Amino acid sequence: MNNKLIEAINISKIYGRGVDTSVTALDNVSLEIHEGEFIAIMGASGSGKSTLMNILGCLDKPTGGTLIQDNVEVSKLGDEELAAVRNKKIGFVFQSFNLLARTNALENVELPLLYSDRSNITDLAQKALDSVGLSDRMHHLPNELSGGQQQRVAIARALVNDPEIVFADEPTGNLDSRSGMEIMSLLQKLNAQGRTIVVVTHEKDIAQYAGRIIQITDGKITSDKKNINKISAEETMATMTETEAAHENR
Amino acid sequence: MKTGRMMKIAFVGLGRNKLRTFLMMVGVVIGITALTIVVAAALGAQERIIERVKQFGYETLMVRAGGEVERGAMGGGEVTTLRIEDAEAIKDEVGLVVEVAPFNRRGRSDVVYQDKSANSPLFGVTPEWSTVWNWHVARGDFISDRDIEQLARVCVIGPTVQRDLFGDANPIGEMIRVGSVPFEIIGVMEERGISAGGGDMDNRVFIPLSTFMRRVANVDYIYGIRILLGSIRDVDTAVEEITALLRERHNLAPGVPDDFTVRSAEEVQAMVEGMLGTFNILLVLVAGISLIAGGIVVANIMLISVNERRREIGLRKAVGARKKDITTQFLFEATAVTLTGGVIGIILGGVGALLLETITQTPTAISWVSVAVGVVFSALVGIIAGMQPAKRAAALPPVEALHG
Amino acid sequence: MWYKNIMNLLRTIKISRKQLSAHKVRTALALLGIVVGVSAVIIMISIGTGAQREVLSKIEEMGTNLIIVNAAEVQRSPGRMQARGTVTTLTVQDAEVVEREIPYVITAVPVQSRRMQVRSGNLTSSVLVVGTTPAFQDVRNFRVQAGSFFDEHDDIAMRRVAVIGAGVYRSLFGGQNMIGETIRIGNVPFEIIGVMESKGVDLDGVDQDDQIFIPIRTALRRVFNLSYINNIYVQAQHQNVMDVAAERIREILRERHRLIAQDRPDDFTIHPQLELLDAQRETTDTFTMLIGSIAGVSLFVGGIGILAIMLISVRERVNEIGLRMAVGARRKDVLTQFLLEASMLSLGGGIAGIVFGIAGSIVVGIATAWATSVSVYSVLLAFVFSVAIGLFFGVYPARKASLLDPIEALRSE
Repeated sequence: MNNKLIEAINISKIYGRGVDTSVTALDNVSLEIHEGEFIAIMGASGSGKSTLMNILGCLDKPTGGTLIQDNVEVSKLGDEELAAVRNKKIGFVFQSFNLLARTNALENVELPLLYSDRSNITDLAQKALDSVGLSDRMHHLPNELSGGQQQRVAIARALVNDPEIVFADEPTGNLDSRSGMEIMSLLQKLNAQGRTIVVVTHEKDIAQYAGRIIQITDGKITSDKKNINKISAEETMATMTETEAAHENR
Repeated sequence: MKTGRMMKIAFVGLGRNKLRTFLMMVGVVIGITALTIVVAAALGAQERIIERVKQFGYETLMVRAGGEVERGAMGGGEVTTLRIEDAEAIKDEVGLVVEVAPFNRRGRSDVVYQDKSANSPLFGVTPEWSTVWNWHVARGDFISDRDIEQLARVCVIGPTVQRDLFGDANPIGEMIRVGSVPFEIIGVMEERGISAGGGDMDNRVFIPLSTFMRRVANVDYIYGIRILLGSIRDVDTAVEEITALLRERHNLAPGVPDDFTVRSAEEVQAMVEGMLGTFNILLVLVAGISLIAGGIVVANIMLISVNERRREIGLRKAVGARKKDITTQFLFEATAVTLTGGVIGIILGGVGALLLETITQTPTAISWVSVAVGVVFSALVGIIAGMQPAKRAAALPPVEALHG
Repeated sequence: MWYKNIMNLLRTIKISRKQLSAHKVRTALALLGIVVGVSAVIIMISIGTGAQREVLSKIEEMGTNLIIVNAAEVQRSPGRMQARGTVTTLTVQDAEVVEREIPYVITAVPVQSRRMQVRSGNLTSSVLVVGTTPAFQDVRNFRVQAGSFFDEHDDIAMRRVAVIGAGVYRSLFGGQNMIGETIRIGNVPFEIIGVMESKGVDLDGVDQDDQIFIPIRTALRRVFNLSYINNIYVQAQHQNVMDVAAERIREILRERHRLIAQDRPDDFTIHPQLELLDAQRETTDTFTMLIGSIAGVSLFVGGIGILAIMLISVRERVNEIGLRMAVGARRKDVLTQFLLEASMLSLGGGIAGIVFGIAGSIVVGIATAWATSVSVYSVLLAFVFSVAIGLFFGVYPARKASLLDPIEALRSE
């Protein structure tokens, strides 16, 4: 088996303090993520899947348990070190893109580099945009881009620091199905190049593009298995095109 | 290198969100503008009013011939010891003295024009009289140095004399007789009204001091000296120095009482000082309220506009910004915004004060101290109010900030 | 139909109220902006007014409401010039009648004065001896620093009591206690009962401390041996009634001196304190300008502050507008909601601002001991102006947002 990237042991997250008012979002969750995996974390709204991703991605801190990343116990790190971890080892893609307004695609992608020690910022950002196929949109502002394009900028931003793992929280949630497919296809391509990817989704259809599906219900992992029916997003898009063509021919 | 990068982030961000930057700046700009204008207007008003009431004799001293007391027998007659040279010595040797006006007077004199007569005090004065009393001719000319040199028989009359002798007719160039000496009228004084003692200050005839002493009264002494000081601060010192100087010049042995009296306008001084006190309080209040109101507006706008940016802070943290990076960015932003706002405020305040001066015809005076205090204060308020919510947002886990 | 409208309105009010309380911080800050705007204007104007009164009162203390009636000094009869000197027609009774008959007059004080030799021990001094009544102190704002001034009984009983000026005190007594001592005015012995405060020279350069005050009746009968006086000092109620008062004094004196029937000229002259009145007028003008400027600047600043806060807080909510329209709100509904929100904010803030403004003015008044006052005018001005700006800038950006396509509004950041 490949390198172990992340190991979560008995992670729990409880919101609120009182006995009656506290809500358990995660209840003793344990899991491992290995290099090169494409994982879908699935669950209904409120199941705790996003909380899990936020904790795995060091955006949030668990209330209990241990999180080990690259043999470092990140759950014990301070804010400073966590920021460095997010900056160098993790990339994020959000449902609502979260691009800075009035800031062009290139500069949005440059953002993580600004907080790193790198110096060839623009080159790296251009390369990242290139890899998501947007080299011709570098100087467009977010509101001049389509939803799919905005999400691709966000993915480029997630990739620009060459992270070990990319987390995507409902990356297709704000997109039409075709743009969604494009994003999934892009993620699969990145995975094929060796990038570890974790997608959080509530849609079964989307989860089918991952190699491993983790099901979460009420803060607990209820199933964690390899997806034997993994579909290629590229192929789905091809059929979509055929269907559309068929519709038009009719 | 990192600091430079943070600075760049801050400036680029400010440039991009022009409306937000403008709104953040507005608070500081209007605070400083208001402070500058309001203080300038108050200072201008103070200057104007104080200048006006100073004319009541705020910065003057009166030296009168004759001491307050004589020993021995009743009576004593006129005191003949005060000389024109004393006035010159006071001007030359007492540092605080700006100008002196020696004068002589005669209580009541018959003033005759054709078949009309008046009964007016006669004053022998020098050209400096006009400056020292801040009392000028309404028409014609005042007595000149030439008139003094030539012992000219010219006179300037008060408005009461003019009314009594000439009615509405122009008296300039007319001849009047004072006692038996004919004088040509060269000017009419402005109206001064009546003094608190009931004396009509407009019922007077002024002639050159030299003419008075040689041709009218035939004396070599003067009645008094009106002295204009440069400042009121050392009035006591001035009185002491003048007293010492005159005692020396008059050869008065120790223990011999003064043969002159030096008095100041205490009532006027009390009034002016009272007014200055009032204005000081007014300035402090007006500036203070401008500062407080401006500060609240600055803080207010900063709080709102930074609160609006929690999402941005969350995102920056998600991609690896440290708390320090966020605080640095916002510190730079707030500093840049408040300082720029301060400079714009000063400029607008200056322009506003100038406009106000033109519109109201009242002078204004910009107080750089208040401007400096204002800029520092509102910059501090702006920075603190801008940093506080940014710091709070930066301390949150990125998820929470991201969710607004 | 109207029923439905009212129900709709009520529902919108409820939404607005919910909105406002759901965003407590934002609402509080916007409210604060309006409160500061309104109260700053009110306080500024009241401070300006207080300072104006304070400064004017300093000039007034010098005697702006003082009218001096002088007995005429010349009798002009063409060709002949005999009747020289003071006319003898002005009397103590004239002063009494002026005070009694003219409503604008607070007091009328008779004065007869003459420079005389005054002796104490072996020291003599030439001093202006002033016969007058106790009200002289009020009219001239001239008080004793030690002992007391003489009273009406002293006057009626023609007692030989004297109050000496500070200059006389210094020269004749050299700072010794002199209350109860005897001083000779001419040859008449007087008991000293008080010493005046020091005033220095007057506008004319005349030393006001070089005087001795004695009761007018004592002065006329025992010292000067005269039946007439040379001045009446009249204190008018207010400088605004000076002209009317002067005219009434003239009428009464002409009648009393029997000048009307023969149509003879006045045997007296009436003088207001020109210099003081002029300074006072200039001071009033300057302050009017100053207060106007301060009020204008405060209004302007308050207005911009309110504008900025309203703009920010509405801009922040373009998203919300998009959402409301997406779920079926009409433009009118959105506008009504924002109008109501802005009204509640502006009115609430305006009223709170008035309360704070009045309270602040009172505090300033107490702290400075100035007669600050809150004018209805300044309250109205501040309130109307601020509320109008709050309303306009609360609704105008919302209107602009409501014109957007809902999708665009939703997307905007």
